[in-house]
Amino acid sequence: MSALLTVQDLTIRFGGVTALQQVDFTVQAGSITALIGPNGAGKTTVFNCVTGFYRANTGSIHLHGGANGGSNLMALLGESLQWSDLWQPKRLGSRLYHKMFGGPHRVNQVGVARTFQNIRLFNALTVMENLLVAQHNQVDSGLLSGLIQSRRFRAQEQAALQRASAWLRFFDLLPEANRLAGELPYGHQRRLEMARALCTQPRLLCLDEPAAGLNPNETKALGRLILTLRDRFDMTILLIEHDMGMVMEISDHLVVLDHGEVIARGTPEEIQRDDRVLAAYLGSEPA
Amino acid sequence: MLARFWMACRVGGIALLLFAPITGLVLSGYRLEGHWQTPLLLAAVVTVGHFLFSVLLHHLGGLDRLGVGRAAALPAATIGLSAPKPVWIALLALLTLSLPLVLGKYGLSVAILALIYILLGLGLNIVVGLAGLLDLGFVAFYAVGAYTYALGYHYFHLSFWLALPLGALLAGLFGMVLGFPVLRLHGDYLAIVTLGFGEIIRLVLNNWVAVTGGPNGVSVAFPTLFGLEFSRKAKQGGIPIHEFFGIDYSANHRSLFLYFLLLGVVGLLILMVIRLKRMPIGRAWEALRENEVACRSLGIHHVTVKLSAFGLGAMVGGVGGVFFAALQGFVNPSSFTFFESAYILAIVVLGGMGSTSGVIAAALLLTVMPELLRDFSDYRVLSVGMAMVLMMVWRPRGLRQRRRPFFALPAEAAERVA
Repeated sequence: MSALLTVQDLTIRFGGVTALQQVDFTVQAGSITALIGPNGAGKTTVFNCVTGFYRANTGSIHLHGGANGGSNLMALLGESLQWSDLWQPKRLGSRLYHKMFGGPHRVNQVGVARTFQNIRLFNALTVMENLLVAQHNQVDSGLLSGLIQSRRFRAQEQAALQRASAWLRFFDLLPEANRLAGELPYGHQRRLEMARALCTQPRLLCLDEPAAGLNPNETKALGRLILTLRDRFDMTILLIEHDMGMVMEISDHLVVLDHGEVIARGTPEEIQRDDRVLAAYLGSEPA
Repeated sequence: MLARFWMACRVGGIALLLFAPITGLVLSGYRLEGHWQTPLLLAAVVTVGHFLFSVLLHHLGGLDRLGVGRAAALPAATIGLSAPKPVWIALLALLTLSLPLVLGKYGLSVAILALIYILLGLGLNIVVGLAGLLDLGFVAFYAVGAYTYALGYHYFHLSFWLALPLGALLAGLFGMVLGFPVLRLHGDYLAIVTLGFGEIIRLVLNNWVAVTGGPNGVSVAFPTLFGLEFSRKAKQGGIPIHEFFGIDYSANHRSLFLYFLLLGVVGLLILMVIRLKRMPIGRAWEALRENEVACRSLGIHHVTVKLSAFGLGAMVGGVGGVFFAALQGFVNPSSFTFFESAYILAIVVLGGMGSTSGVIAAALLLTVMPELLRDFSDYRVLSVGMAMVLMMVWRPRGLRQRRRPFFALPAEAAERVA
């Protein structure tokens, strides 16, 4: 196995609060890695950094492999200009470019997709449209070709429709394809959001509490779906989850955060025996 | 059948309520006279018409044929919604093409105005209805279009045909210029900035007297058709059209010309908007309206999507402006007040955000109704306002809700994910 994502020395401060302090971890390609920790430990902050919604103060996030042989996710967000750039026109150009066109969307384009803790669907659009929006960068989005309905445009729209149908079938949502996303039951909305993230054809799928609000049966089914994603589709998955039963069952690797710091890493068995983790969750007796 | 009948009766009752004050009370001198037979007659026509229409529609199977179960049996995945049947399109085309035969000069000018408002409504619908960016300064782009033609003609003898694309381009550019600073704004804040932008344009036009002529305005030549002029005597160095064809001069010719040209432009725009809604860019607009954060997480750059909505909407507004200048033969800043922006916004909201047919219906309603109500000129604006209030109470989502495209799915979707 090789690493797909390397996070090094990630530190982020909001005003005087240090939300993350030198967070280090790697995600192996084709694995399920879970980020766990008590409330307020900084799990979602890590997620927002990895998916490009927050910019860390220091540290680096690298996504390996892919078409261009790896990308520095932080650089995609745009870095602030520095005086020394004046002597290095190439770096200045690259920084200006990323400043103008950088942002979370670029992170998605290199292969990181995510879902949200509080579901963010396009409620007034149908289920199918939600999935078509996700394929914006894979279809011919030119103005002219769409207006004249060129052959290429129609072929790509059909391909997008097929891909969307396939994912809908996988998540057992095909009968709902023409319903509005906002009127689906909660559990279906969670699955739809995952389907939508997968439609962007990511290499790393980040799931933010996918089992939140699901009943035990649904949680079990979701765990199986996530395992299938790894085994059948070679998807690499990074997830945040509070449901320890599910986390211990499906994860290959765990990273435990507390107060913005990594306190333990390892397989589920190792983590379950780790004293610091137990202390973080249950509190420790005063020495 | 009985249910349809009762429904028709109910609709008739509503019609009676609406028509009674409008047509039943006639002011004569200082007294109100009751003419109760008129509203009763109108309500009866509505009742019978509604009943016949619903029965006919049922028997022709117009609506029931679009069921989900049927579409699911289609062999291959097709993007498709119930496209309107060619018969309806042909009927509509025939109606609009033959309308000038019935309308007089006055009616024709109302029709032209209605078409301009349809154009503006559809343009603003892109920005407000689809992309969800509340724009209270749309009239600015209308003004840019009108003044492009007016000033272009005044200074460079720009022809109407050149002004049309140039006005659209310039308005689109202004749309993007407005778009840049407001990229981060939403809702109320965006509305206030656009409101300011609209006023700035109007004030510049009003106060830059040396260039725009200020409140005195600029006069515009009437467009020519391949060098043929529509005036009695040639003024622009061409041949008057009635001399060319050897027919009598009629002031109607120019209105006819504008009407048909606008009809063509509006038709083209409707086709464009229908296609835009099913294109990636149109879907991205709607997605952005629904949830910007989710959009970014899916790799959609909100800047380009927003700017394209502003730009395209403004372009349509610019085209409307060029036509307005051509129709009036004269432009001055008083045509581009905030009231105009509000009126266009009312068209979009009344029609139903994002719905093309709804916006067209609302534009017709809001331009034709005030003209029909000229006899009660004192109560004209009042009754338009009342109609709006009632509309919003009864149908808060507008005349017509935006219909979502329907996707007929394959009987068995591909087994493997590509």
